[in-house]
Amino acid sequence: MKHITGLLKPDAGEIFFEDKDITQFSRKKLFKMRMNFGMLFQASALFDSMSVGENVALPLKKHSGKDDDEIQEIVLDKLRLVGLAGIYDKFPAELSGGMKKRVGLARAVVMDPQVVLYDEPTTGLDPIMADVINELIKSLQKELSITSVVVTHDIGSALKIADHVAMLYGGKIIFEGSPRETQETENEIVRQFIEGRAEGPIKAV
Amino acid sequence: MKFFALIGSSFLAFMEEIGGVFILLCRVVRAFPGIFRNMKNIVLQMERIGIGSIPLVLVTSLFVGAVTAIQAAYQFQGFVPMRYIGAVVGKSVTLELGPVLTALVVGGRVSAAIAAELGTMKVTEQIDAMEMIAIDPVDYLVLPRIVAATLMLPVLAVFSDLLAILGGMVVSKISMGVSMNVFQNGLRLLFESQDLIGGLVKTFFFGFIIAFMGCYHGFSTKGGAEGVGIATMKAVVSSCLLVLVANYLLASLIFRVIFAPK
Repeated sequence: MKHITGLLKPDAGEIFFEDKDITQFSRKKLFKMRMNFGMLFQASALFDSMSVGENVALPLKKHSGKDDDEIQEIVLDKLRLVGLAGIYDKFPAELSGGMKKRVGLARAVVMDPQVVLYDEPTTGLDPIMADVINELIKSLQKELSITSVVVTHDIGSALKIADHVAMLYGGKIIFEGSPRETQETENEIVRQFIEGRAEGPIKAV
Repeated sequence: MKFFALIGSSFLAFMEEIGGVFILLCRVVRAFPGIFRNMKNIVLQMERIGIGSIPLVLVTSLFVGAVTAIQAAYQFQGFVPMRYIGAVVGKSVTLELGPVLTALVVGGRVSAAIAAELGTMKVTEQIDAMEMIAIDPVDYLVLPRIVAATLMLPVLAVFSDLLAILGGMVVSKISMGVSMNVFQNGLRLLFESQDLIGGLVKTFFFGFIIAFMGCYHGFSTKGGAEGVGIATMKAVVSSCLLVLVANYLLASLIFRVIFAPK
């Protein structure tokens, strides 16, 4: 994910976004490209010196040129989208893990990006909250028509939200297919992972 | 062979560190033209770094001035008349003690605070998140801190000079019975404005070093809580050492070349 957005530079190889190789981009061009991206970090990565409202508003304040009233309107709108309209003035330290994730999500979509990247969106959440996030990812994708890329080890979540599943093992993509194909595959490695068995081709210990 | 491997790897690590410092330095210089977009942050940092450090600087300086007077009197007894005590306190405070001790105590306070804050932001991916929303962390985090520290250190040093001289004056009166008038006459006797200016000019550089080292080590933090601790420690140690080295170089430049003795 950090390669897709140019946060890290690969040792070898190329990465294409809209037919342009981003590994050759200057910082300026990368910044411009990242305006089309939103990212939800595993630990939310909210700026803890700022309130929730300021967190979500920061990208708009820096890049949109809109005035404060308009920005507040958009921020409240996005917070409503993730079901958290009432916490505008709270600070990240006062929020639960699930709420932080949702605020992170609001911040990720506040610039109306084309692509949103999710880094382990359901990790560390209880099953109900995990499902709330799953539903949010699905509805955001439909309502704002964005491309979603989700990295997860939560099979239930992956099968629920994905149109297309790829499994990465040992640095290579060893399987690609629809959720249905994933469930029905004969691939031993994939089978072991979705069934969550300790024995099999993947040696954990 | 192990011995050579050790030398090699520590040399590489050292060169990597130097390289990292220069890369950040270049980015800071390149971000400099955009400084006015961040006025709000600069003012906030000036308040935290400058005004927040005043109590520390005042107490430090008061006692440094006081002890300078005591030690000077101890050296003087039987050889030099006590009316010169003001001259000694004034000289040593404006030339060295005020600027350098201010830089050392503020360096500890400020570089640690910066490194811990930025280091925590780094390990919790807040710096990455900032990059992701297309805000350059050098613009937004580093530059305001460096500008604020560079501007505020001389201000703190002025306070320090004043308070240290005051401390020396009070102690001279109480312990040595040197009246304030006599002390002030001594102070005027050998006072030269170039001493004061030279001392204060040094503090601009000290301010830059302190904030820069805090930011650099904050940004290169790895791991979790332990990493933040290590980064904070490195920031304090390196800023204090660099302040002392820079002090020597600047003193040589200012007092041996620019204000060279005739």
